[in-house]
Amino acid sequence: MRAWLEQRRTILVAAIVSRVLVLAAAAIGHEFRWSRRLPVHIASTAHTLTTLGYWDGKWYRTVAERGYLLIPGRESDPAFFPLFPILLRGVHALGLSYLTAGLVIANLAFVAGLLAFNELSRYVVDAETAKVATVLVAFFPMSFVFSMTYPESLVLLALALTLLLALRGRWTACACAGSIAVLTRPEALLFLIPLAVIAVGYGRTSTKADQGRAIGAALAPVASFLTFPLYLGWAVHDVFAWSHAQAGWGRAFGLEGFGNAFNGLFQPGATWLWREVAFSMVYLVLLVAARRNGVPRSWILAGAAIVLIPLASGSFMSAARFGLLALPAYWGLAYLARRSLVRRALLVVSAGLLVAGTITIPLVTP
Amino acid sequence: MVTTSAKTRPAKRHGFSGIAIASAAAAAVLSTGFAGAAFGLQAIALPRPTRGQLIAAKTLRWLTHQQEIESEGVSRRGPISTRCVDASALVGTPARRVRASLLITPTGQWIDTRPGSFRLGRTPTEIDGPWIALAAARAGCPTALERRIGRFLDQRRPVRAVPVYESGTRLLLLQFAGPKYDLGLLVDPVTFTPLAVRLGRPHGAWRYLSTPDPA
Repeated sequence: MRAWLEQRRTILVAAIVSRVLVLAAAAIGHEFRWSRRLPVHIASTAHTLTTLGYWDGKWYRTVAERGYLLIPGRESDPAFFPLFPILLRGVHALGLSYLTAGLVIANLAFVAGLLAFNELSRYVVDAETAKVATVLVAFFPMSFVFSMTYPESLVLLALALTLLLALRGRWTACACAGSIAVLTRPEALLFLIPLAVIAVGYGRTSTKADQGRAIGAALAPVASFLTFPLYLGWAVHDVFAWSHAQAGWGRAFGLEGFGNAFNGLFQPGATWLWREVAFSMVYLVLLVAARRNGVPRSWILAGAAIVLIPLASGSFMSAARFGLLALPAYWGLAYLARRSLVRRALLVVSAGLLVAGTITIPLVTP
Repeated sequence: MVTTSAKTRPAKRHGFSGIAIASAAAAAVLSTGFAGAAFGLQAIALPRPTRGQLIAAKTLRWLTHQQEIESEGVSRRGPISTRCVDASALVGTPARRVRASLLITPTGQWIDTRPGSFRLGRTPTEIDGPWIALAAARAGCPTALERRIGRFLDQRRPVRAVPVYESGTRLLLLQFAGPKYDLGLLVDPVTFTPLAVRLGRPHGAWRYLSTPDPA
């Protein structure tokens, strides 16, 4: 165990230092109350880390506390996937507030997620690039979201485990991790593309039972994903509650969505959307770099889909956050930072932007 | 660098159907097992809305599809009849477009929006207080009533749903308890269409709603 930890010391140090930066920035921002703006849905500002419960954190807490209810014509909670609220409810039952429970789950899942991502990366790129990529995830400017009461860190962990377990041929555990990922955020479904490629490749070199388990592991997340609309059909009497709720949030998927997303950039009050545009471009450039570094096409395709598909809903809103799960982008970033000088400069700039991003949470709509 | 597995055994030659059946069976068992567990987890771990809340949500869905509603009732001053049309209005500085209710009564025309209410004349006059908003909800204005029901549901306020008989017809009474005003709705038990609305006292007079006949 000690040797195992020793080998991963750099990763653990990066995880801890980056989280200390995020938590400290949130606490200092709260202490000085430099922003008087409160989001509409925040219940209390008493908690020192209350900023990390902003944005959609309220909605996850609502689902955890009261369950789903589709409210036609309004923003409502079936737009949010169920696993994170279920965990919130479970940890809350131990005596923690929903906000504290969310922060504990998110931050622990992030540290575990970094370790799993490092292991996964070693299968796809060389060990040094894997380590650099993992450190860069920890300090990535938008990675403060991994410390908010959001499910992103849980998806990072579940996705990394899904693909890692598939590469190791542990199909039942892979199916379990994949099911967790897709019940946490729908974007996780896109990583079934590389998973299917791994499963098919495995099938060619194994026995009948193993082939079946590999295919089953690739299908199990799809089946688990489909249980969410079924559950909504049972609980709120509307199998399409998720897409109806998305419409209430002003998101409707279609080809015209891309045009609407660009038009939205020129509406009054859209200044912060340019940050989302900038991050979307960065993710795409990093995916190109990852491809040049030899990352397989199926992984790049999944990453690109994670960045581009949300734009089809008609807005750049949250694009920077969604792109956090485009895992191959980090391998591209590590490839670009292969020179020591570039790497150090990138880490310093990223850490500064990470702190700035955390402090400005109250100013931005997610 | 991507390798598929540490344990790579040599491929065996199988009949296509044998492989397909074995693979499909293993895949089906694995995916069905996980799907069952996933559904069970959601069903056990998350609370479900009450019957009253679900009916109220269906009534709200009906309202979101309406553009115009007429209402009739009896007030202290005698019979009252209103017409309400969904509209949009430019409100505030800088002006922004918001959903509005145009309320047409025998005594005047009013605009109700979320930020404020106005009396229509040569120039619109802003009206202080909640009176126009209450009148719009009482008249069954789709936007105003939607906003009120939506707020109750957002806050997950308790909704009582009890069967009642009105002129020999079986209806459902939805009763929302609010911090200031209670809201009562008589709805069709099959289509969940609101047929009458009552705002304020729990035993106040009903205002009966109807949609205009298509011209």
